[in-house]
Amino acid sequence: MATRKIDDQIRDYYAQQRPSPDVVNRLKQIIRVGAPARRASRRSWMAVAAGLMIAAVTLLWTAAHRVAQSPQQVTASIARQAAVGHNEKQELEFRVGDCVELQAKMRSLDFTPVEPSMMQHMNMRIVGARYTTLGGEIAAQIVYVDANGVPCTLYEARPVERLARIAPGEHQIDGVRVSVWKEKGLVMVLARPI
Amino acid sequence: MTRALDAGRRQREMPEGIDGLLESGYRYAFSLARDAAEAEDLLQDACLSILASGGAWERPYLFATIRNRFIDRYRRNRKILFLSLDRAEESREGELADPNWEAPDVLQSGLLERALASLRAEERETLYLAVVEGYTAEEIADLTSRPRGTILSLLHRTKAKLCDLLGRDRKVL
Repeated sequence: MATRKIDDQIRDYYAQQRPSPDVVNRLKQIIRVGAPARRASRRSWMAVAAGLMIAAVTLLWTAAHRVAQSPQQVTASIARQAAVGHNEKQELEFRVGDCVELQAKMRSLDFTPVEPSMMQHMNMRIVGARYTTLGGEIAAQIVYVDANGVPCTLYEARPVERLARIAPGEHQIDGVRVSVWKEKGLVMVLARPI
Repeated sequence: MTRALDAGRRQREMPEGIDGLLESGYRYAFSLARDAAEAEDLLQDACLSILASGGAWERPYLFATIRNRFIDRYRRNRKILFLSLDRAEESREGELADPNWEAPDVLQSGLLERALASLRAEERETLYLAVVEGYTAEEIADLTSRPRGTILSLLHRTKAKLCDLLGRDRKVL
């Protein structure tokens, strides 16, 4: 049986791991354009980034993709990311009182953030939001609170690339119940305490 | 006016060797996260962070940023990935006669991927930096803020563990 040095095999293994071409091109375009030095200019930069992302996704749609995951694997990965994001409780970029105000302020997305009907039925009140990524796509991370002030985190993103393959369902991860579904042309992922 | 000129200049300039840098950054992120999508997210987050801070497009800075982002993202939920090294010492592996031993084709058979998946993040990270990037123990110690001796023993234990996972008949000295 042929043998090889283990270090050579480890190097070859990592040489096979490459970022997808659309990610590389998107990052290079973002780097070429440059970024504002201050966080205050983040929104304008995000507008550029969102535009570039759309262009890159369109142009490179036929480029090589990474090994396809099953819908269950994609959904599990997305749900886990949502649970981690919910538990991190990162600082919000926008404080808003309702969804209309959110739409007016959060303008660098490549979609319009909406309020899912579920939130109205659950008597949830919107608090604020921040930009984030979900499954490699730009997303809105929106924080709601219920009548008792308990926060839950809603993610909204376009159903493209990996997110197009999600399977609706519910997951329980790290003390967080994560619901995944599609509504109003968007992928919705809601993370809340169990 | 000056700002406009600066902006224009910035648009034309692409950091030298950016393709290789992004690939290395991705692989380093992959060694930590062990998931392609998460590695891409980490790389993207790190690039955004460097752009926002005006940091240098250099490998050590990119790696440090990726590492910080990884810790930020997983600190609360994946403490298990960064176990105390003292505790890791308790499960001491046997010693290797040859840290770069001859092995059957574990890459093609998929055994290597499964074995790497069984390592902890810090173990995969150290292995990647030493074997793939060619970092010295001192350079890894700088990046990970650990003593050089700790890195040396971690690397040795990781190799022994990998060897064990791959089912090779280890020679215990």
